[in-house]
Amino acid sequence: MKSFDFNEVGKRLPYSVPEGFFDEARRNAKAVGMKPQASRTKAVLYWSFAAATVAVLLVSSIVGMFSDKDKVLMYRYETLLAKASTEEVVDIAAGYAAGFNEPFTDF
Amino acid sequence: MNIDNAEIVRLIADEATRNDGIARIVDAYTEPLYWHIRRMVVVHEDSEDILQEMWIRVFKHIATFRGGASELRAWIYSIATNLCMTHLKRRWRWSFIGMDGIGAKLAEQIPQTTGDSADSIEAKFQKAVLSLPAKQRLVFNLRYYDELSYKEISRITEMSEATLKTNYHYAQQRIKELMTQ
Repeated sequence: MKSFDFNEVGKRLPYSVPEGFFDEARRNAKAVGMKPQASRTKAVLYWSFAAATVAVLLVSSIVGMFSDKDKVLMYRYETLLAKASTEEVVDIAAGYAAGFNEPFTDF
Repeated sequence: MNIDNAEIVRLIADEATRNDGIARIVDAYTEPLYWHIRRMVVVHEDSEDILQEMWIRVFKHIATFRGGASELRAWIYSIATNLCMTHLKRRWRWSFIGMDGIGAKLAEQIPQTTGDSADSIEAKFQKAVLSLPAKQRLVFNLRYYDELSYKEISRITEMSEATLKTNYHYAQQRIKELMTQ
């Protein structure tokens, strides 16, 4: 009986694929696997925008740090201190240090 | 195609050149891996789905791949092979035929998928390959068609090189018998 020779078939397969299949498969795989690279200009714009945003937030938080109540209190102290003598200023400072946040309205 | 795995591994290891590495790996391996998958699952549409899933898995883990150039091919083939096994088990899970019996079911699908080539010697050869026990079939395909080394096949199948050589020998013998019948 004649022995089968593998070279008769080699690596040939009975299967086929649709035309252009491999090109499309490669394109699809690359679209999934390759991450878009940001250009240098885009990167500079991105970081500039990020830095500006942080600066605006910082300034806003400093400006907004004092509440309206604090601002009124500060105005009262300024008015009071402008009228007071040196001894009275010492008393007001001592009172503030002792926890009397409201200046005496009838001073 | 001559694949420079060392160059691919070098490109992938650096984030700045990773896209170039991915392009090369896709160019180099899409076609051989499609045929590996097709020989395992026979149907084109199933092979296409598995190929896509395989690339998704490869890309998911490629940034952390730390194997050498010699391990890259075995790593990709093992992902493809595992996906094929999972697909076949899932597809025939209610038939209770086991992996060895699945080969016969796949052989029945050859006439539908080959069209005019159904009576060709190539189709007869594929039927013979599909009639092999699952492990022999896998070893035969990886060695005969993809020309992987026994060391690489050992990484994929987790079998010793001696066992692989025995399996390949038996597979060849069985195919010879079937082709002369």
